[in-house]
Amino acid sequence: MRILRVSIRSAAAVCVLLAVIQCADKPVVNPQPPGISAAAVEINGWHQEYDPEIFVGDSLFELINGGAEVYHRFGFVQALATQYADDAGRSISLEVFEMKDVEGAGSIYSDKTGGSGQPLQIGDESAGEDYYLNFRSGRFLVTITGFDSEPETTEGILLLAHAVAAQLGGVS
Amino acid sequence: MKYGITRRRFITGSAAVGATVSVGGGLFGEFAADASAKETAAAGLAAVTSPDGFANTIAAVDAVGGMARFVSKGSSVVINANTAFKHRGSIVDPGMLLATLKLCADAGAREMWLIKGTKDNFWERCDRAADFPGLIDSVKVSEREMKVVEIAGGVALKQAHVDRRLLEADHYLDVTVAKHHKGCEFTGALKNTMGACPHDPTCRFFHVGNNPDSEDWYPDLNHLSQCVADLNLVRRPDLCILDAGEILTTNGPFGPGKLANPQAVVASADMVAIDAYGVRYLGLEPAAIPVIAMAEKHGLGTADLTKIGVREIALG
Repeated sequence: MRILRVSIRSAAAVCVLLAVIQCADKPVVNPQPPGISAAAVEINGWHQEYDPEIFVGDSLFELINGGAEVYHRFGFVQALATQYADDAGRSISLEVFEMKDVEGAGSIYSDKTGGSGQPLQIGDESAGEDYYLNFRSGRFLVTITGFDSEPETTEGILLLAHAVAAQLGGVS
Repeated sequence: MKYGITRRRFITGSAAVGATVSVGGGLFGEFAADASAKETAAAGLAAVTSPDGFANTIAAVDAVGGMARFVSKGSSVVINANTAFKHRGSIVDPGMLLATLKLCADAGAREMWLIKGTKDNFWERCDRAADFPGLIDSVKVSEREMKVVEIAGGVALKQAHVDRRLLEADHYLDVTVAKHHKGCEFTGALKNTMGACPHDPTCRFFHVGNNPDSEDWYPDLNHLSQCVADLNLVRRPDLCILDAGEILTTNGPFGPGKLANPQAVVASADMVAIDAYGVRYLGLEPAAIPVIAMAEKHGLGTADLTKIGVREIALG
């Protein structure tokens, strides 16, 4: 399978271009749902360090290596990865995995959490660990990770998690 | 909400490593000047502990004979460093990799290649990186041009696609992190060699074997382990350096997962021995990791640590 790894901006530009070509002579009635790119939210006190990357097909191996085989078997569609930083130099990583259905997302979620972690009331199910959390919202699986364990980082993780969950809650 | 952990908790909760030799001082320059260390014969394997991954690396390589023993003046060096992921404990400490680059440069390496580049703000996480901007900039990253290699002694793997830089460089350094792996339980120097291969077809064959439809993460551990052992027949590293500073103990290889902080760096030219030693950081025994025995059977090294001379050093 051809490896495709593009930035959100590039992907969006291509989508817009295709939409214009396909709909040149008819009005757009139903705009596309926000999709996975909506997960790259803005949050107070943190800025995105670089454009979100989208991983489709075999490019998932660039993100998670051999584990990608299992994601594909459970219906992997695409993933988004980006990173946030605050003014003090703290960083948070955001990874969103879009699966074909809720069952696939649930299976990957269960494996990643191993049944441990603190429930956080984010999304449909969630688990917080020392420096990271996982949650599932529908067919989306989200992992947010800090690069340290400072309270400010943990606060940023939770802030980001709630914001992403709010965005993904509208995506079916 | 209990949702946080302090560095102190990481340290007190981490694995303890025996220290039989103490070396004073905290700056790498002092190690080089340590006459008593120079008078001691080179160890077959050295494990150095302190909170400083950079200093640990300098001391560990020094204890196994110094980088000049493994890298000749004017040579090209390829470094297969595990930098593929981003989560804590899943990649090598930048201080450790920086020390490795410095040692190679000091040994007179003409050029240094990384099999894979670093991600995101990798170097920003290392305070010392700012002191070596020229060194970091001088390192080249492989173009990932693969060559097909026949593996005559391979049991499960008869052919592999391998990065040509690994095949062509004068010297090869295997620089990795000790961590959990959902398939192998442990990943270290032996498993790290897969980083020199492309996902498709080589690594995919390792992972799925003859079970492409299995829902297990790694459906055939024996096959995966044998492939890893076979792959290492392609080229043995001149030196292995294993980061056991902050390591992933669950959800490996990419994480995130639970962490331990052994605060150690291990160096050895024997890739079997370094893995046989390194499994202790995850509370494992070498016999529990099939690839170690398979690699030993291939003659790639020894899992019998009594045969190679282990030196454990705690930096003061």
